[in-house]
Amino acid sequence: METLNALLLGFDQAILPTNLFWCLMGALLGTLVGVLPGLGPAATMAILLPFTIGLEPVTSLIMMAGIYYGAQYGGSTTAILLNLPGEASSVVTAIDGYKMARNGRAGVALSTAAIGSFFAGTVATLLLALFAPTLAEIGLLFGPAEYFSLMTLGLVASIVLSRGSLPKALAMVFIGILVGLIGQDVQTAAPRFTLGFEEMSSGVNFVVVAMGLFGIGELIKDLETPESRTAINAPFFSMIPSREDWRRMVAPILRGTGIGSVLGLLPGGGALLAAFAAYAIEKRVANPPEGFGGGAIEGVAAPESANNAGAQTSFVPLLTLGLPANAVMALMFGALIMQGIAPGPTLISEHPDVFWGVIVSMWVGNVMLLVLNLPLIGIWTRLLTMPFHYLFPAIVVFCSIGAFSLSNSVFDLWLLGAFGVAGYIFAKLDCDPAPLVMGLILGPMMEENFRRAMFLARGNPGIFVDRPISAGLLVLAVLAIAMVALPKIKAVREEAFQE
Amino acid sequence: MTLRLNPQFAAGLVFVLIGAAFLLSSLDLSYGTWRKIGPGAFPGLVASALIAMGLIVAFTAKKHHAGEEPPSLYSSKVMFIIAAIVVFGLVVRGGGLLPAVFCCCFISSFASRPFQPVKSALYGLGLGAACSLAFIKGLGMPIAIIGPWFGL
Repeated sequence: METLNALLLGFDQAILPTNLFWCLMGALLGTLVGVLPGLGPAATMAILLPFTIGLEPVTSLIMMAGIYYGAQYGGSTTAILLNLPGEASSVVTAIDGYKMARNGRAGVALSTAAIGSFFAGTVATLLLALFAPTLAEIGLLFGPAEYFSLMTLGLVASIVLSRGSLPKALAMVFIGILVGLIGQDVQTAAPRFTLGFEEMSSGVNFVVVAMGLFGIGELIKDLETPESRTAINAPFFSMIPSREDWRRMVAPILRGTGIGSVLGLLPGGGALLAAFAAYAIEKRVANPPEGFGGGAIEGVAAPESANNAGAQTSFVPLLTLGLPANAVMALMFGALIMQGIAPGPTLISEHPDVFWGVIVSMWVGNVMLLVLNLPLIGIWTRLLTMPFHYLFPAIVVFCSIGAFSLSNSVFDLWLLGAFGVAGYIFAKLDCDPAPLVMGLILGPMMEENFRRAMFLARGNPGIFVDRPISAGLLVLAVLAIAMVALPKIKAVREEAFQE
Repeated sequence: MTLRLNPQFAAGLVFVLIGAAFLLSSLDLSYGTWRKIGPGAFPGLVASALIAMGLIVAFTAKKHHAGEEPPSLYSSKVMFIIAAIVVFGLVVRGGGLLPAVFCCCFISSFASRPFQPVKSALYGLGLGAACSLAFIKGLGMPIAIIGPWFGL
């Protein structure tokens, strides 16, 4: 009953005309940028984030959530129509989705993705509403030592569950932490690593870093690898799935939703892991399994449901513990901070309108994607065939305007340029920038909690292992690292991300 | 074609250099005591860990594979994109948003082939007008469309 009342409170917020409008704008803009080749949700959000800052806190978060779903949906669209997954979590969708499109069933594949996403989004929203308050209560028991350990676990998990070499990812996290520490020290007001720039004493704005690393970095990479982008020519025939299609998609959607909801909750989890796991399970239970890889509708329905469910439930650790589970959530975290709201266990009690408003508007965003984007698919595909040399100057312009508008400071533009170069170099050296952004967000909080815990323990570092919750979290972190380091599991992990 | 050009080794080197830079400047800050940890201690610790990781990455690098192209870091495309951002920054205050967007768009289009100056210029103007309309008229960005340089 309490949950129901809270959800109604959320509805009051979500259906305010301004909020509906910005939710719609977010979903549209997100899809618009998300269908652009090479720009995944993190890049999309980084590019569009500055334009949400002038809005009311609830409204801006609603818009951010809309951008996120839009970007994800855009990624699936390109995966199905072009075999070009806009983001890692729709890589598996491309396998069967693109085949369906080649068989002239692009419309059905797109509707299946939308229907699956919508169903999963609805279920995950309900789960979020049910479990988030309980988790937040647990979060209230946490002291500085527990927080430090929780963040350590969060960082470790996000690395372990991502692709690529472990030492490299760790190094990227450390760089992120160090960049996050630039600026005035909170406790002593001593300027740190500012290189004498007055502008850097308040720290490096994380939006500029994310924009430079994801937006500009990926853009330059794209420019260097010109791909021929020819959209599917096969006629769309019909968007409406046949009765047979419906029958075949029900079970995969249910399974995908379940898997996605659970995996999204894990620190470091989220859409990516969910989609891969759901596809692997569908392949195993499929009867007969030969259809997979050749345009099986199950291969679209399951991962698309799973990645949407995972995307939704990965908001839980963020909104209840203040722990962003992946780079996208780190951007959400940054957006909250910029609005003057500290994500954490007290968010629900102190800003119930924000919390429930965002949760309900996620669902509203899903509805909008369903009713708006399906009819608009024609426009998105036309956009895809637009020559890249018209698109990328516009992206450079948007990044510049966005970075400048953050605080009307030209200095942020120099930083954007610098991090753009850094993003390009990292891409060339095969280093994923996502862990860096995680470190950037979590680093300053880790330091603060570390120092506070040490102060409370009178200088005894044993506090991190003496307190049971903290010790448990640290043990999990160590186990996670050890698991990846073991050669056998390492092989499995590499294989899983190969597919 | 020496080992130095191996991307893995280069990445390790970059990590070590960044770590060393942060470690050195953290030495200027107070490390404090165990109980009252100073502003330099945590960055110093993380920077040391970064150096360690850099060394691991560099020395576990596989020997150079024959036939594998070393990554070339030089790219004129990067220059144009970065130049476009910098010029935007130089122009936006004095020249206003429209000229800044025009320059930014025009310069960044040098990064793609085929380069068509007239089309790019027209596109830049159009984009500038659209952005001025959306951001200044629509979202109320506090910046002039045509700035003081043009005596308006």
